[in-house]
Formats: sequence, C-alpha cells, structure tokens
Amino acid sequence: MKIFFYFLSIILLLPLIFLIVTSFGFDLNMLQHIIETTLFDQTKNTLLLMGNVFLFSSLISIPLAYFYSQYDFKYKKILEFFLILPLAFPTFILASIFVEQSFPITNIIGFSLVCALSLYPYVFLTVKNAMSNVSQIYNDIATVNGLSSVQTFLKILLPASLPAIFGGTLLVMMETVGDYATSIITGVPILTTGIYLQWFNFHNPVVASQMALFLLSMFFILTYLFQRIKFNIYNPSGNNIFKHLGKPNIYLKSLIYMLTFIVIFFGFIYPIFNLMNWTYISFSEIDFSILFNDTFNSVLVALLSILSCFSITICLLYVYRFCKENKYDVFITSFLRLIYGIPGIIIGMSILSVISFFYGIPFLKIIFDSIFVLIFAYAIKYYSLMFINCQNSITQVPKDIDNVCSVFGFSKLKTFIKLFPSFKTSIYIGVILILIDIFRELTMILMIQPKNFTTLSTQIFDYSRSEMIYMMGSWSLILIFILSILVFLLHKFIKSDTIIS
Amino acid sequence: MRKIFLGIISFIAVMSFSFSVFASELNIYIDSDGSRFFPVVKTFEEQTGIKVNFIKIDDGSFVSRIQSKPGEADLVMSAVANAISEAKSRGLLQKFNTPYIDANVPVEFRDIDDNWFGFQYRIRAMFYNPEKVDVADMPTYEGLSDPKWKGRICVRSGSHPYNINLVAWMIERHGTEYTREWLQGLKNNLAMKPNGNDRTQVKYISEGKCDISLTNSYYYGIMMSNPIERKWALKANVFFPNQETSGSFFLVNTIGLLAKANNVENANKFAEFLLTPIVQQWMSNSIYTYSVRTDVPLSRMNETLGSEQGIENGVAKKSEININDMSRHNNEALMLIDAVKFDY
Repeated sequence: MKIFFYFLSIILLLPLIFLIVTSFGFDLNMLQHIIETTLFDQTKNTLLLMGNVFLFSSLISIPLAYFYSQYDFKYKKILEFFLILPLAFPTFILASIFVEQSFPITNIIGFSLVCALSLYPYVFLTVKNAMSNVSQIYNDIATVNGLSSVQTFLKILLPASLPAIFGGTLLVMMETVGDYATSIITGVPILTTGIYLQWFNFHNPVVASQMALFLLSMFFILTYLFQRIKFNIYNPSGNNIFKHLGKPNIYLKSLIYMLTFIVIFFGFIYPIFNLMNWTYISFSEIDFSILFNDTFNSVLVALLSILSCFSITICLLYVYRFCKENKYDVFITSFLRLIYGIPGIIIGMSILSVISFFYGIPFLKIIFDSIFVLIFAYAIKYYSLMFINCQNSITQVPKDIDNVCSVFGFSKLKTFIKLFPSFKTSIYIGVILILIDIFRELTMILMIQPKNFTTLSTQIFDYSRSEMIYMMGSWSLILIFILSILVFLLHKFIKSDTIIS
Repeated sequence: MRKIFLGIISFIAVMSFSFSVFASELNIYIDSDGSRFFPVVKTFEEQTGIKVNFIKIDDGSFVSRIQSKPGEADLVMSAVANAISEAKSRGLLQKFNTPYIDANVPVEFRDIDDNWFGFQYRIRAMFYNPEKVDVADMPTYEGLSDPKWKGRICVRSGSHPYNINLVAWMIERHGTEYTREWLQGLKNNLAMKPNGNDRTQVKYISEGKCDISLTNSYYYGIMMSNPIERKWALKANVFFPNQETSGSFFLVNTIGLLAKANNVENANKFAEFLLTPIVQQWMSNSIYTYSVRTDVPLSRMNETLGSEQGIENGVAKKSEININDMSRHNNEALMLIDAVKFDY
C-alpha cells in the first residue's frame, strides 16, 4: 500500500518535477531584459493585488459575517444565500461586464475589487462560521462586564475569527494570482501575465519556468508566513445550543440590508441583467447546438474530474488511516496538500512540459490528445480540496475504533468503508467546491484543451477575445445557472458545525 | 468494488478516446478570431464530408503547442502573421501543394516558400472624433508620437499581436532606435493605460475619453451591425494613415500547413476552399475584412470608409513592406514594448 502511495505521489508531483527540469538553463539576455524592464512591475502588481484582495475581501466579508452570525432578522436565510451567489460569477466574466460598462476597473484597484467581489464568499463563509462558533458564554460575560457590541466584536469575535480570515483570504489570493484572463481584461500585468508572454510570445520556456518557480516560491513563503502567524487568542468556541441571536434595531437593520444589497447588486444582480441584455441582443445568432455541446463538455469534464479527485482522496485517506507515516510521508502529504494553491498557469505549463517529453510514444499521444490530460490537470490541482476536509474529519474518529474492528475480524478495507459516514459530509462539500472551481477555471483549459473540445468557459473567453462580447451572454448565463445550483447546494451543506478547512 | 473500479476506468477511457478518433478529418489550430469562421467551416464540412476539428489556442501560443504536440494538427490559422512566420522560421511548416494559391493570392500576401498565405486582410486604421479633430490634422503612424496629441490617444495592450505587428513594421521601416523613441512618444500621448480591446477604444472616443484610437478597419462594420456599438461607431470616423507616404499598415489573416500534418490532402482542399470567390465574398460582407483576391469587391460598408480624407470607394493605399521581412522583428518589437513599459 505504501508503494502505491509513493507511486501516486510521484504521478501528482510529476508535472512540477518537469517544470523544475525545464527551468534548468540560462538565457542571460532574456533574464537581463525582464529584470531591467517588466519583472519588477509585474512582481509589484502581483504583491499589490494580493494585498488589495486581502483587504477588500476582508472589508466586505467581516462586517457581513458579523451581522449574519450575531443577529437574527427578516429574510436572513435567503439573503445569506444571495450573499454567496457571487461565487457563481467567474471573475473574468464579471470583469468583462464592468469594462464594457465603463466602470473604472482597468487599474490595480479595479482588478483587486473585481476579484474580491467575485471571491469574497470564501472569506464570508469561513469567518461567519468562526463567529457563529464562539460560545454564548463569552457573549454573556461581555454583556455582564458592560462591553458594547462594538467592543465585543473587537475583543472577542474578531480575534476568534483571525485564523478564518487569514485562511479564507489566502484561498482568495491563490485564485487571484493565477487569474490570467482578468489580468488581460483589466490591462494590469501581473507575474502570471509575464509567464504567459514569456512562454507563448517569446517562445522561451526556460525563462517562463524560472518565472513560474519565482511565483511559486512567493506563494510558498506566503503560505509559510500565514501558518507561522501566532494567533494570541484563546479558543472561545464551545457548545452553542443556547446561543441567542440579537435583534438589530431599525438603524442597524437598515445598515445590514443596505450593505447586503450593495454587495449582491454589484456581485450578481447588475451583471446578470447585463448578460440577459446581451443574450437578447445576440439571440438570433446563437447556435444552440454549440451551446448544448459546450454545456455537455463542461459537465463531462467536471464529472470525470470529480471522479478522479474522489479516487485520489480515497486512496490517500486509506493510506493516511492505516499505514504508519514516517517523516518523509508527512512531508510528502503536506506538500501534496499545498498543490491546490499553485496557480493554474504553472500546472498548465508543467503538464505541457510532460507532454513535450512523452508525446512521441503512440499510446501516450492518444491520451495527451484526449480530455484525459485535462482531467489529470484538474485532479492534480483540486483533489486536495476534498482530501483536506476528509482528512480533518477522519482524524476526529479515534484510532481505537480500527482496533475494535480488527478484533471483530473486519478487514482494513471493510473498516474503512465503515468509517465513510464520518467524512461523508466532507466529501459532499469537497465535491461541490471542486465543481465550482472547475466550472470557473479558465487558465489551465486554455493551455491544454484537446482538439474540437470547447467548454462554456473557453467559448465565453473566445467570444471575449474575438470582440463578440454580446455572444458571451447566453453562454455565461448557462454557466452561471449551473454554478448557482452548486452554490445553493454548498449553502445547504455548510451548516453551523461544518468548517471549510 | 473491483467491478465498480473497472467500470470507472472503462468509462474514462471510452470518453477520453472518443474525442480522438475520426475517419476523414482535418485538425486546425485557430486563434482569437476563430469563432467568426464557423459558417465557412460548416459549409466546407457539408460539401466535402471532411470533419473539421478546431483546437483553439490563445494568441501567439501556436509555436509552443506545435512543438509540444507535433502532428496534433494539420493547419494553423491566425489573425496575424507573427506566430505563423515564427513557426516557419523554426521549420514547423511545409509547402502547400496546390497551384490554386499561387494563381489567386498576390505575392505580397504569400510566404516565399508557400508555407503559408494570407486569405483576408484589414488595415490597422485610426478612428477619430470628427468633432474634436479635423481630418486634415490627422497624424501618420509616425505622427502619433508628436507631443501635440498628449492625452488624446487610446490603444489596447502593446503586447497584443495587432500592436506587436505594427511595432515590427515600424522597425522594418525606420530601425530600432527610431521605433523606440516613437513608442515612448506614443506612450506619453496615451489618454490612459492600455486596456480593453479595439472596440473599447472606439467606445472611449464616443465617451470623450480620447480623440484618436488605433483600431482595425473591420471593426467599423462589425460595430455598425450591433445596436449598442453602433452608437459608438457613429461618433467616430475611420482614417487610413500614411496615404501620402508608405500606405497604411495592414494585418493579414494567415493559414499555414504544418510540417507534421497527417491530413495534407484535406488541408490543401480546405486552403483552396478558403480562397474560392464565394467564401472570400462572404468574409468581406460578413466580417468586413478585405479579400486578398483582386476579383472580389469590397463590402458596401467598406466602400464608404475613408471618404472624409478623399479616398474613393474605400480603396486605401496599403503598405508594400513584405510580411516576412516585418515578422523578423517580432521579438525585437516585444522587447521594445517591454523596454518602454508600454502597458505599465
């Protein structure tokens, strides 16, 4: 079983190994050129983007999370669902709409705002969850000590939510840094744009790989720093059976409704109306057979990728549960968990490197020309979304149970199957999160899409590049409809006792 | 469990390979303007029974893809000549084997070795606000760097192939140092950081954010066909620069035959089909590009363009610089665009 674990790890890490191999080389002229011209600005823009997105998504999410976790008011449940609906809007579609409507987003602030507007639900969900989990006792103590709502927020709820804030925003930053399409639409070059130009315009995979590794090291440093942050707080979560939510006064209620409306309006309602208008304008030109085909392809890729992610997760969970880990295994597992954060462009490039190396082998050529390569890319990038949640859930089941099962003559496999209910919900949430990510994804599929294979997102971007912007309408509406269903399911599954790791 | 596992593997295998096997087919790499050619491809499929598979590639990424997956495609179609001439210089193309190309494509639109040819072209024109700029004062391409236009010019990203081509053309005409200064001057005159696409620049003109934009000629016709964009187009006129000097710079829709093509015969058939008068006329009328064939007339829309500057029937003088010569400067152009930090 251990051998299988190592084999799987190598397969999952293979593209990254090839990227490193590709980066071995020295093009002094090009290195000097980028250092003297664009590298500094691209790095600066990338860092600014990350900082801004951290700031903006926190500013949107924290007040909303506070209100929705601490107060009870009319229409709260439905509004809460609408608040996570912007997740159904891929960032590049949102950016296309705002640029087309002359919103001033063609700068670093605009780029960051659009990303935050599309991705803040990740922060909102985690922070709201953290705030909801704060025990009622702490609220009661605060009240007894005469702390106002603001003081309670600042002294208890905010410190208790810091890990969730950092975790949620890190997720948003990871998504943003790899967003090549939005960078092109808003006209703000970031490192991802630079890598793309190096590889495809200058035809220089060596320097592109070196830049990719530079971006990757930035990401690892950031993750390391986030993990090193010592949250100097007690853990105030506890039994919340007796949690009572406050009733906001009329002013606070108005503020909550107003904030909610502004966010939902710009994150969902306004863009949706634009897409409807574009669909109306271009309706006579829509080729429904292509639309149907693209929808089918999107769903097919997503489902096959889910299947792959599920298989990898189950295998790794089994090894994690029943095999003794040495320090190398722990390192490999930790590294594999981090792959999710690697920008899509780097995984895309890594896979192109692998393809270049093995394309001459007939059997592999057939695989590389099929959608299998795309599914492989998605499995590498997204399986950890499912695995991390499941790993956390299964860890909570005491290992003694395995021994008891063994005494009763259960095989390891049978014991593992019996453990399934303990991580069932994590699987469901993982499936939904991965599906959302895959339907939103564009960068990787643009690099490695097989022949005659377009999906909703590639066709939308194609219309955008071809300046057939109104044709985007119907394709985008279908994509957003599918994503909305997934967001609805996510909303259903994430209950107060569930945390997105 | 084993049956389920085998079932899953079989399903993945069937779904994956079902996208790879066809009887008589033609595989084409195509870039950003691909969607515009769907009707042409549909007709070709109906007439010949050859299944056309598109592999949509982002602008300029052909070379990497061809090198990564040799033999995946037979043809490459691009909105410009950059990538295709780069592919040729790396030995990734081969000669078309049909006399129809030489007979119908003028020499200025063809590769010297017939590895690729242009099948339509459009002029990298200027759109301007006639209420703010007199047509007599309109600059040449070179004049765009004149400080008198400070804060009045809009253009999309410098690293877009349309602009890389223009810079390469300038290098071929005036040399590197002149072009660097020209590019710096143009950057200084921009009303805003480069963003959006070609139509966005016309929109900015209609909103009063700038007075002149670099926009391809065919977008005028496309915008006039759209109820929203029509309003933008009506506030701008099309100007063909350098009519008194070099002639206007133009971009060519190109098609090349890949060296490792598996369906060479089908590729030649498709190349011939693209050049037939009916297809050429359809493109001129629907996409508002210009045919490379001398016997295919301009669309009615294009006949009206440039009348304000005295051009008759829309026939503008175009540059005589050889596309191959110009394309040699692509990398240099990209480096200059970086050097002046055009997009920053």
